[in-house]
Amino acid sequence: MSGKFGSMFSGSNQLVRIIILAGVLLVLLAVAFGSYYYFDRYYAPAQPEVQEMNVAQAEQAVRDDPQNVESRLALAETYLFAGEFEDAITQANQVLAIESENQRAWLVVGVSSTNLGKPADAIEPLTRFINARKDEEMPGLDRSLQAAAYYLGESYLQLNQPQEAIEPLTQAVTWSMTDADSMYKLGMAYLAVQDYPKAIAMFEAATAFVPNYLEAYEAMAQAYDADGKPEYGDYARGMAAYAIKDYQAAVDLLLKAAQSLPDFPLVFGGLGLAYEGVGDLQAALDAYHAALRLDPNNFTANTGIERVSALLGE
Amino acid sequence: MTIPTPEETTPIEPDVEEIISQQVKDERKRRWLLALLILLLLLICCVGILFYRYITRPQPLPEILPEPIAEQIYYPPTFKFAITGIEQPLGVGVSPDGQRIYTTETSGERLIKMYDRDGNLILSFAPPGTTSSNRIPSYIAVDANGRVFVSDNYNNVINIFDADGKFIDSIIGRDMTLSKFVTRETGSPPPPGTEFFYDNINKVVVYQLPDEEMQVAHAPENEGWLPLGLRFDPAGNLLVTNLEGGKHGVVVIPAESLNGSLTEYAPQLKEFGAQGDGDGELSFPNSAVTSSQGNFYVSDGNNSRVSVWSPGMQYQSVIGKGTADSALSLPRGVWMSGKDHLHIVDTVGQVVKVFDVSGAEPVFLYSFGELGNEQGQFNFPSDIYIDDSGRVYITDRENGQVQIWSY
Repeated sequence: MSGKFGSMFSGSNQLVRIIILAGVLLVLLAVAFGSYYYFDRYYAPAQPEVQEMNVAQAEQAVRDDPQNVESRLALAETYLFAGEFEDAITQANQVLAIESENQRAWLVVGVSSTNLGKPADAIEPLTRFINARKDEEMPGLDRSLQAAAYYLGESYLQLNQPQEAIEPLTQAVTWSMTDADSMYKLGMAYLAVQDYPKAIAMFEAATAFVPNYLEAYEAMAQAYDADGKPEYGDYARGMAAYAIKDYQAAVDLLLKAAQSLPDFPLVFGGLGLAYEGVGDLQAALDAYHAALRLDPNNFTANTGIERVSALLGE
Repeated sequence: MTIPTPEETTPIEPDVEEIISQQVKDERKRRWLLALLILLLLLICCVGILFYRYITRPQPLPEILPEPIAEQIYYPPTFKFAITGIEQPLGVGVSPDGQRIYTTETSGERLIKMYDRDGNLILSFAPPGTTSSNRIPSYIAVDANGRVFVSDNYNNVINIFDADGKFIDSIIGRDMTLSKFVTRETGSPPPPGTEFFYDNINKVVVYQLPDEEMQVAHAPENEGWLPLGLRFDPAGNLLVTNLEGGKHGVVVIPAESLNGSLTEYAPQLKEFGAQGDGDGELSFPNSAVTSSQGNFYVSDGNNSRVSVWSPGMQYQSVIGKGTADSALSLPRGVWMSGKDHLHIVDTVGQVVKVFDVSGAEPVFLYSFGELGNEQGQFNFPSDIYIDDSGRVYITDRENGQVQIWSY
């Protein structure tokens, strides 16, 4: 080193000071870059949720015209969708104070009460709603009617009155023949009154629409066991394992069930799905073919064969 | 004060070896410190360059790293914010500089809306001669010049606007534009100031030359033309999914036809696909993109898959079948990011799934999003666009918003 620049670095103490300065500069620069990067890429100013905005709009509409029944009803329904059940009931009751026969308000009160764990308060408004609408021309197209029937059944189940729950839940299933939740609840009602075959039929129907419906499989296993058919219970437990993606456990349980139930097509359909899950496509294909030999119309097997064949390039 | 004795004042002779040893130690220390200083200065330079690089060209950090490292890093994006208050948005596009966001409304007023990068509404626009009841702006693609191409699912046309939303022209048939049609009608290219629009209900073209009466002419047949999804490939060719009855497929409009005079529009179209659910068939394809190898990836909506075609437009395979996490329900918008990461919007699955298609076999990487109406949740997402800075734009139809995520 020579000259002024060289002399800057001649003393160790001076050098240490420069190093500290450089270190501080490096840290400051790194922090500045990190902060800028974070704010530019990931920082998001607080935004109201979609639901919050809907509620705010509905509340504003009521403030603008407090006497407007339609606005208040819309607010009650918005509260219901937002899960603010107490507020929904309050607004719906105000509507009912003006129009005591308002069906939508009955529905809001009934559904909200069920969700609040007050099933006793839900029975009357939901029953009135269903009675008012059940004879309309096409009840299957009325989703609110289906919802009312479902929640009425759910209320009876919460009140531990499964026998009373069967009728509205049967209506819900009839009006919405693909509603797996209503089927599951109806199955639970049958299970509670110990009508196991009907309970099992409902759980099977529910899982046909939602193949990974864990609760339905667990209840199905319970129903089979209670009906004295533990080998079928293994099938349901295998499918429950499939539902939580524990595919190896599903294969083990379904293989065990298949040995006991060589004529039960569902077990082979389920086995095909489980084998697909563990990646054994050839075994899955074999299982699907076994299911089809027992039931040529088996939906799971038919769609499974198509899918697996495509993956195997056949 | 006592006077020191001569013995006491005599300087002590230093130990020469000790001095040399101390000097060596000092020199060694000085060298270490110098090395440390150089290292720190180098680090300062690196961070400074990185900072400058990011400010001038913002990209996710892993994208800035050397390629062999960057290729090994997979990471899902993070929700940033949402542009709300849009009536059932379907398509989304972004200007080349990333400063303008375009989206289409499919209900309400059915406008095309333009926002700035922070999500502030700049303006809304629509094709001339239409109202909310006779237009459905659908998918969007923005070319390298900033022109905005918007398919209209009601009128079976692709409308072209400039970056400010000013209407330029429409592609109203496989080889026909509005300006070409008017040229044919009038015998010369329409002069500046000419207004024209296509009326699909009455099958007429309405045009008005400057200072002349409005004219109405029977529109040409647009058989075989029902455009839906739009994407530009890196070469500027426009990939259009075409839902012509019985022939669902993909039409590639060459860049030179779009960049030349639209009054002389005569594209040499290339196309592939047929309607159906078998190999090499498509059912309501919503979007098509290309990879760096030139393969085509088509969201085959109603067949719950993405189908893969070679650069020569030969059917190859499908992605998304099966029961694994990679399975697709209703794929719609697709986008290919720089590293050949195929992003697929699964509208019914309420999720975006990402595959690495750079190798011989597609590899499922990750998915993001879920059903809901809270931040970062989807309610029937439809289209996707990723800009150069790594921002991901997703239309979230039933939540009425465009979500912005960031890599």
